[in-house]
Order: sequence, then C-alpha cells, then structure tokens
Amino acid sequence: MLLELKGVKKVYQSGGVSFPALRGVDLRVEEGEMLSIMGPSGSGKSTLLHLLGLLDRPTEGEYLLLGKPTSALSEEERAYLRNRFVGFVFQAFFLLPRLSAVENVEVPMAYAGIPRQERHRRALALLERVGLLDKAKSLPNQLSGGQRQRVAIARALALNPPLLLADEPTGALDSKAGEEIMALFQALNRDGTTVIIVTHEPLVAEKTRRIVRVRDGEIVADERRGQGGGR
Amino acid sequence: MVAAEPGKGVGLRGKVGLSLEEVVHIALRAIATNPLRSALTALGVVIGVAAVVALTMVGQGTTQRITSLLEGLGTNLLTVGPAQGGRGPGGGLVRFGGPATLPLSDAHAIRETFPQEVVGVAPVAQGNFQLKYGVNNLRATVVGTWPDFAQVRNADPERGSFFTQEDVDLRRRVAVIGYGVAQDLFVGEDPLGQRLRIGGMPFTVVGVLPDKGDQGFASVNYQVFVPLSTYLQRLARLEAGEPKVNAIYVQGADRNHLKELQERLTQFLAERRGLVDPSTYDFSITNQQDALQSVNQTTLVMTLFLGGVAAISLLVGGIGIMNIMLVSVTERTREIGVRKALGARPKDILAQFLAESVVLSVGGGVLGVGLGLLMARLVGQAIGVSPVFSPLSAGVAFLFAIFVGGFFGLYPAWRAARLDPVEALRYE
Repeated sequence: MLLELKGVKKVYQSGGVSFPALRGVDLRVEEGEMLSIMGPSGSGKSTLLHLLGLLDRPTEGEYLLLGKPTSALSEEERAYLRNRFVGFVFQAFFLLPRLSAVENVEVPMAYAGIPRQERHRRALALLERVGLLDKAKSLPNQLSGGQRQRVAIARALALNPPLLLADEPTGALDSKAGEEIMALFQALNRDGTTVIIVTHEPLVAEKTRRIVRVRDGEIVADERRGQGGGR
Repeated sequence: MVAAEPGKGVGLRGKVGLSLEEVVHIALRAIATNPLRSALTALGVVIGVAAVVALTMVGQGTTQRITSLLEGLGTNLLTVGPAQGGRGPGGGLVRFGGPATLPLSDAHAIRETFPQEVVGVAPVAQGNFQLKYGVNNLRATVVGTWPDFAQVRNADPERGSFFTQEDVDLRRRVAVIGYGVAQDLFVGEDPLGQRLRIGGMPFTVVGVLPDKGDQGFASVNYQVFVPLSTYLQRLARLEAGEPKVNAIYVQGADRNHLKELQERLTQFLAERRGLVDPSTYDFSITNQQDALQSVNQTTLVMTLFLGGVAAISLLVGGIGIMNIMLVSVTERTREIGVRKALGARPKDILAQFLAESVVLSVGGGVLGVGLGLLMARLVGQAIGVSPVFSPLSAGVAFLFAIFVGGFFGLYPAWRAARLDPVEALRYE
C-alpha cells in the first residue's frame, strides 16, 4: 500500500466562517496505480491532492504513507518527503519565472543537496526525456504552454519520486498539447511511477484505469476499468 | 520512523538542504533581478557606513593635527604667564598680548634654582611693530627673548642661526625672522645679513625660521625674534624699575616629572613673592600636557557624538532594508509556495531571504567604506585636515552594517519561512 486516507476531513477557517472542504474521505492507492480524481470545481478534489502531497494537513483523520501515519511529522520531515517522495505538476505550471528551463528542473535537486554540476547534468537528461533539450536555456515566458508543462514534469521527476501528483495538468493547454502530456504520464506510469491526476475533463480521466469521483467533499464513486492506462 | 520504500530507495526522513553557497547564489540572483531597487535599498546602509567612516577619519585627523601643533610648539613645555581667569592684579582679564607683568628676575631665579630639572628658560616680551626693508612695510609681532627659545619652542632657524648669549649680553641689534616675514618683506631676496628696520631701529637678520604652517593662534611665521635685552631697551623703551616680561617658557628635563616640576615652580614663585593664598597669585603656570589632554577629550566627545549620529542613520538604513524585504516577501509569495512544494524546508526559505538582506547590507557596507574614504578626503581638503584612516572604526561600521542587515532581515525572512504552502500557491 503506497498511501491511504482514513476518515480524512478538512475544514477551512476564514474570517470566523468554517468551510468543510472534505467531509470524511477514505482512499487507498497501491504502488504503480494511475488514477484520476474527478469532480466539479469546489468539490474538494484539489484539497485532496494537497493533502496527498503533504502540502496541507487534515483537520481530522489520518494520512498513511507506506502504512505509516504522517500526522506526527515535523514541517522539516514533510519538506523532505515533498522533495523526494512526491513530484508535483500544476495547472499553471508554477515555473520560477526568472530561472531558465534547466535551472527550474534543478531546483528540487538543489534542496536535496546535489552538487551543481551533477544536478545540471541530470537536469539536461530529464529535459531530453521530455523532448526539450534544445530549450534548456530558455526562460519560461519564451516557451509555449505545452513546453512549460513538460519542463514542470521534468522538474517533478528530478529526484525520481515514487508518486506523481498532477493538478489539472492539461487545463491550460490545447488538446494536442494535452494529449502529449497525458502520453508522457502514461509512459511514466508504465515505468512504475504512481500517478494521480486531478481533473474535471472526462477525456483526461478516460486515459486512466481508475476514476475517483468527488462531490461536496465526499467520494461518490470509485470506478475501475479494464482498459486505459495503469497496471 | 517509516521504512524505506522498496522500489525507489527513499525513506520518510533524511538530510535535505541548501548549501551556503547555494543560498548566496539564490540571493545574488534575486538582487540582480531588480538592480535599481537593490541599490536604493542598500543606499541607507551605504550612507550610514560612509558617515561613520568619514566622521571618525576627519575627527582623528583633527586630533592628530592639533596634537602635532601643540607638540611643535616645544616638548615638555611649561608656560609661566599672568594669573588666569581675571585674578590678575588689575582685576581684569589678563592674557598674552596684555601688559608684561612678570619680573625678568623670575627667569634668572628659575635657571639658577633648578639647574637639573630645567634644561631651558626663555622669557619673552613682545609687541607689535612696523617692519621696513627698502620700500616694503609689514606689521608683525616682535618677540624679545633668550637664545634658549630656539630649543624650548622648536624654533631652530632653517638658514643662519639663532642669536647667542653674547648677542643678549651686548644688546646687539640682530633678528631671527619667521618664514612669512622673509617671504613678504624680502620678496625673493636673501634676508641673511640684510638690515631691516623694526620700529625705526636697524637690525641685522641672522636667521630665518622654517615654514611652521599656519598655526592660527600662534603664527610663528609672522614673528621676529630679537635679544630680550635689546628689545627691552630699544623697543619697549623701558625707563625705570625692574624689567617685566609677558611670559617665561620653561622646558623640563623629564616628561614624566613635568607635573611635579610645575608644582615646584608654582611653590617657588609664590615664595619669591611672599604669597601664601593661591587665590592671590599674580601668575600661573600651564602645562602643555593639560592642553593636549583637553583637546583630545574634546575631539573624542565630538567623534563619539558624530559616530552616534552616523550609527542612527545606519539604523534607519536597516529599517529601509526591512521594509523592502517585507515587500519582496509579499511579491514572491507564489515563488515561496512553489519552492516549498519542491522540498524547501522553512529554514531554507529563511536562509534565502536572510542571505538577501545580508548581501544587500554587506554590499552597502563595502560601498559605504569606499564612499566614506572619499568623503573624508574631500572634507579633509575643505577644512585643511589630513584624515586618518582607522581600520577599527571602518571594521566596526562594516560589522554593524552586517548586523543591521541580519537583524532587520530576520523578521521578513521569518514571515516568508512560515508561509503556508497551499495559501502561498494560491496567492495571485
């Protein structure tokens, strides 16, 4: 078992008003799976992803990683896990605007304490893998949306994490670029990376073997199908 | 503790973190991104450090100048003069340039009574006279004194020689002239051996003093020295009674016993006059050391005061850094969120922003020391003081600048470090 949510609730407090984003979620994901989390906006699917990526803590319930609870982990330990265990891909790419493509890919490796030359070499290899070696020195604003997202994926893969979390990865892309990104995720999954994609696009979700549907902070369906990606 | 995940070899805990070099690299890039803003941010520190450096340099230069000036007037020097603070016999304020009040016999008595302790005695009587050479006229102070004056007051002629005891005994009309007098009165001619008229009386020039610089209150450059006996008879036109002088310079043999000599001389002169109560003394003895000490004290107070003002400006510079760093943290909230998502620990973010403010203040400190050196030179030229570079005060200002950067950078960096990653990522 790679990860497991047990009765997880998340309540946001804002100006004395509390808003329940998740109302009690149970979810188990095995190593090597590829699944989509679907739901309308405001359903809590992004909150779910933030919890899985250790960017946020549940208000109630427990998040188990490799069978071990994460609630007692310090901020430092969570940072370590975000660095090594999880790769993030965001809808808005979130590349650092003043760093070149290759420097963006190097960022997680810098936090892992990998020496400069070594991480530059590795970053170039990762860019080659996503087909962007010729754009290594380009700044994000010199790249197309699809190219930026591929840089972001290269960055997410920098430390070869077992878990890839993508938040609407195709949301800002045209359909052709979106399909290329999905093909990349499928290839990564075939190589053994667990991929979880949050989306509201059925065309994206169709590419995964398992679809978890979320509505109003609860899981309303967990569908597994024979075709599509994933093992 | 969670065991390592089998396939990937990654445990839940381990060492992560930026190296110091990495942190400084990130800070330098952030600073280079917005050069104008960075320069303006550092400007407060630049000005503060420059002010500290320049003010202490000029202050020390002033102290050194006054010290060397006072020492140039003679070493181990005691000055017997009229009573100070209006306690003179006339009740009025008696100063140099006032009437001669000291009996010349005091000078003889001191010389005879303290042959070991005193190495030179030079009584002086002075007045302003018209000097004339050819068609040139000049009004100058004429000083009648003894040959010891040359040694006691550091007045060895550059050319020729000082007059001798024989000149004094025979009341010869010879004169040693200051550098300025030689320049202005003899305009290009060699004054040695020439005759000039002092108050109508012809005198032969036997010595010319070197340029002593413009010493303001005692400009030796515009003085003429003649034998005291000649002065008293020919120029002061003494008629009857005991000859009087304006002051008696006494050079002590030993610097360490100058204070003691001062007390013994005071006692001696009081006894000669039959005076007991110090408030009735019609003379006073001043010690050159006292003057030096009071000058040093005054300039030290001034230097400390100005240094304090400069330190306050450094503090203001620090607040400027804090202000800009807070703005910068807000502007880069998204970046902080992304970095946290990618594995930056709170202390990595803290280090990143702290490094930025420290680099700014160190840069400001370096520029400030440079600017301070320049300012000290300009100010020194303007007021005629050669500034003295003090590595200590420059070092202290520099370290203080680093401290200011660290201290005022800490709060913004701490705010950045504890940002919630989810909220930071959502920040527009």
